[in-house]
Amino acid sequence: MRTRANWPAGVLAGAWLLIILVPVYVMLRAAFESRETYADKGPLGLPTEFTLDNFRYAFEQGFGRFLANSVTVAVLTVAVVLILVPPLAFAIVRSDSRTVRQAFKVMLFGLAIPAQVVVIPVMYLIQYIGLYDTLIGIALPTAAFAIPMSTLILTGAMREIRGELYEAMAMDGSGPVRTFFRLVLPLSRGGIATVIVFTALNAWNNYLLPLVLTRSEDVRVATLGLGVFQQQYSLNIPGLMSAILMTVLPMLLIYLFARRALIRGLMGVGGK
Amino acid sequence: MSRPSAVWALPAVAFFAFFALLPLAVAVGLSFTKYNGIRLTTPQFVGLDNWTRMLDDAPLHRAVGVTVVLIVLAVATQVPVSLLIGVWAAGPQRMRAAVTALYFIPLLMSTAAVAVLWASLVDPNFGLPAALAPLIGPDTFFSDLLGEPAAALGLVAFIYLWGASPLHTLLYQGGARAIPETLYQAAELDGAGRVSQFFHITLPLLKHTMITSTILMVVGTFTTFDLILILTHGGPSGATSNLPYFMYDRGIAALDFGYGSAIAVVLVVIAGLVSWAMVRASGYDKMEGTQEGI
Amino acid sequence: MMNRNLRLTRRTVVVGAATAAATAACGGPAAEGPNEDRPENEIHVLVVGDAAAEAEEAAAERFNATSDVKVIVDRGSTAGNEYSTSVRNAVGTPTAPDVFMSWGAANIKPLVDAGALLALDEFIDEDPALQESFLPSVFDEEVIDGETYGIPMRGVAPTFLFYNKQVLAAAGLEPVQTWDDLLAQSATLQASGVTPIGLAGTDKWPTQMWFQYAFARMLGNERVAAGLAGDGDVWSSDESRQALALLAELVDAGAFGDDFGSVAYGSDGSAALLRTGKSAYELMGTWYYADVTAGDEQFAETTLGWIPFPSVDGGGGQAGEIAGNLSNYYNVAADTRYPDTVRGFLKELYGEAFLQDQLALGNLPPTTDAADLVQQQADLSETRKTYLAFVIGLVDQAPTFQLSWDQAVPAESLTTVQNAMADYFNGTIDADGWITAMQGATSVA
Repeated sequence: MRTRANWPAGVLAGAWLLIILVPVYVMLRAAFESRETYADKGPLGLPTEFTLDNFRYAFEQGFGRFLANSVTVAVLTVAVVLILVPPLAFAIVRSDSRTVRQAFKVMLFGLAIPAQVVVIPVMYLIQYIGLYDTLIGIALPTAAFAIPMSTLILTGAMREIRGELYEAMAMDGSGPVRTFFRLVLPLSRGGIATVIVFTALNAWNNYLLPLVLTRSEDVRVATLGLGVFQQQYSLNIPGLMSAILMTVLPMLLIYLFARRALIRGLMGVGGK
Repeated sequence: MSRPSAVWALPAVAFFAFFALLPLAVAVGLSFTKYNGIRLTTPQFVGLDNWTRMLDDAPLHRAVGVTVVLIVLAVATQVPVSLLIGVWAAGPQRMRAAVTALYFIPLLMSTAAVAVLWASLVDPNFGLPAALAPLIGPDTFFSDLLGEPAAALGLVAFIYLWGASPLHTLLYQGGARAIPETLYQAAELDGAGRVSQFFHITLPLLKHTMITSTILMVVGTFTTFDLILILTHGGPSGATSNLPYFMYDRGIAALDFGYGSAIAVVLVVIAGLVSWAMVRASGYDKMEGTQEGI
Repeated sequence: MMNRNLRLTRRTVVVGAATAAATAACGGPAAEGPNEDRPENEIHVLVVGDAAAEAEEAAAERFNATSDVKVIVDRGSTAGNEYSTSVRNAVGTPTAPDVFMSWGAANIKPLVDAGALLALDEFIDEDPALQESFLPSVFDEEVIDGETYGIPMRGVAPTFLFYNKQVLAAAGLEPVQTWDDLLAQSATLQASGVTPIGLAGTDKWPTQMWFQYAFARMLGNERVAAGLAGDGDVWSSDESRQALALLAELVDAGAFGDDFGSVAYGSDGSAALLRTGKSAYELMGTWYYADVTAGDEQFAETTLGWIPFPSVDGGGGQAGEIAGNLSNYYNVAADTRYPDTVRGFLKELYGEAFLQDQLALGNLPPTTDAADLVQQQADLSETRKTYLAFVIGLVDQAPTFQLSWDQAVPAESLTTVQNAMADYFNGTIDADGWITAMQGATSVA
């Protein structure tokens, strides 16, 4: 990598950081304030109070459980996508069958299915297979709606793999299974990392499917749990912000923890 | 032969068909009916009524326009910002790692939070317009961002930029990291400047990333409307009512599920065609690796 | 209140999938008699999943202590519109709630037509307190064609005018009594650098409140109700045009400031104006007390004032007519497996423990004994008691109580009505445009 300092880019990055951080500051400050203090200071004031009451209240309302449920759903969703999509992408990129290659087009049209429109038929399907009000029942359709974009990302990564590498595998007498595990998967790390991020974020921020597919407190996810800070006609802003902070933190920690692996993954084949 | 058979594609396709295509087929069916969304009532077949109604529904046509403008604004702002910052973040300094972590935060916020935060920030009396008034004067363009049609649309695009660019920055960062250092070294030996390197090495080698990222942006902007629903309610006077919001407003909230389904089908088809066109135009579906022959 | 809520969460946009096959599978359009596919020994109560759900959860706990069939409270969406959609889509399935909430007759009409709701008259015959405990003007809302479908629960929430005492005092003004006062004070207040009236114009429903009162004063709620029920002549009448002219005059005089289109209720935009003395008045519902004080009873005591909406000289309405939100109602699924349990649970709604929980949450119960109950509460401040007594008096003495317009029209017209209000205030449509929009929206019925 170039080592010379890149001042113009640095300035742009700094300015953008400011834009990113102003709302983040508002969230952080409000989360540790009482409703009374926030009302006094407005959104842009300086911090004058530090209280954990909002968090305490949220946990009393079971928010810890809701966060754990969200994690479970995200993990299950990512797992389903990782089981299903790599073989599909491999088939689309390498198969001789025209029909299989057509699957790519189907996926393109699946990109824009508004989940809102299909959510009720999905509810009937989930009830029919007996998964209503379960975490896996949320994860399965969430995964399904992540498949098109994941396929697009992963086929892109797999097309990067050079033809001669496949030929070399073939000459070694490797079948598709061996090629898949020894060549394709290791060399599409970048795409897989992207898919994980994309899918996990989708599952984490999902609101509609859990709303329609569950009802018990045991399986409530964090996005639905935000309701504890709302009233039918009004809203406790500091409370909401503390809850949002709690939904942001776990993912941010995971990101920080996995950042190296993620960026390395995103580097794809060239990053060897 | 090392090529995979169709069996490899089957599980994912079947899974997708069951949870997404089958329900979509139901929506297509409903688009030919009049239906109020109550399961105990039977949808009434009305033929092409919903489809012909779309032809002369002026607010719908306006919503299509709003959708297009939002997509253009999204691509025009998100691509340059994500590209430049992503390439910058790919650099080796440690500080950049910390900064990229901060960039990531907007991605993790639910729309509810984003809407409340930005509504507070653009509040004319207590938000940024009031805070900046000593600098830029009172009653500027910024003091009524949600009340003026063009300003409200611009604000929505800006918040999308704020919320979505972190993901794309991450993609570009990964892509830029993957570019072999040797290429830049060679270019420097040839006397190529930074700008020239960017246009001759970085940009061409990020082509795949750019296509994936842009399709994500376009499709994302096509289908999203949560923010519009919570922040602007499609207003002022329909200025931010895009196709998905319109579908919600006139189809679902108004208990007209037949019409809502018809709009949804149009949405899926248009977005699918646009994605397909982008893929075709870029040769992405046939393309071998960008680094082929390096 | 479907659209009155903060739309804080991702909105559900739902298209139902009642295919003919699905309908056939559950045995025809109407759900009649107990559905044995429902869970055994439990009934599910779906409530709007906000902070107030605590009171319902506590009620279920009390009830379950002595019942074999358990009541399970499920928290649904916090957004009314989304909540109603999920109920509509669930009815008829085994996982549909047995008991759920609604906002008024127009809100449940499609469910009644579909045969999804249990008429509660038999319950009331056996337990007359289910009706007698509640204010008739509130209770009667969900009586449709002589049959009762809903029992009031949660708070009664009329709208009226709030003001900042200190701002008025500083400007040497007394609270307004007439619309003309409002106009006159508007000029004085603007001269002293205060926005006369705070308005959260980004949300459309606060704007609608102004129409509701201008029309109540100018035409009277009875004619308004006729208009909402489909009499288009009401909207094009001279009095209607006069009411519209009054509103336009107020807007044009700058009474709401220049930037009300960017002020949102949910981000504390308008309440903060009044709290900080940057505005003098705001027209809002009962819940405003909690929002504008944000827990500061001191502020309520020294600064916050409230008055009935001013009168309009020469208007055709009666004195004291009010508008706003009546209450929420519990409805019962026609195919509930345990109707007796449901009936037993509904008793909780007029039980003292539930009513006290409501008061603690800031909701004013729509019961006849609310006034006494308020006075008995040891933990309410005197100011709060005065306030609640004012609200009860307002409702008690009102000759009519008009449900918010967007709730009173069929769901098909809800957004059209809201948009018409906002568009008229920001000048996108004129009086003729507004009349056309309202005639269109109300003729759907």
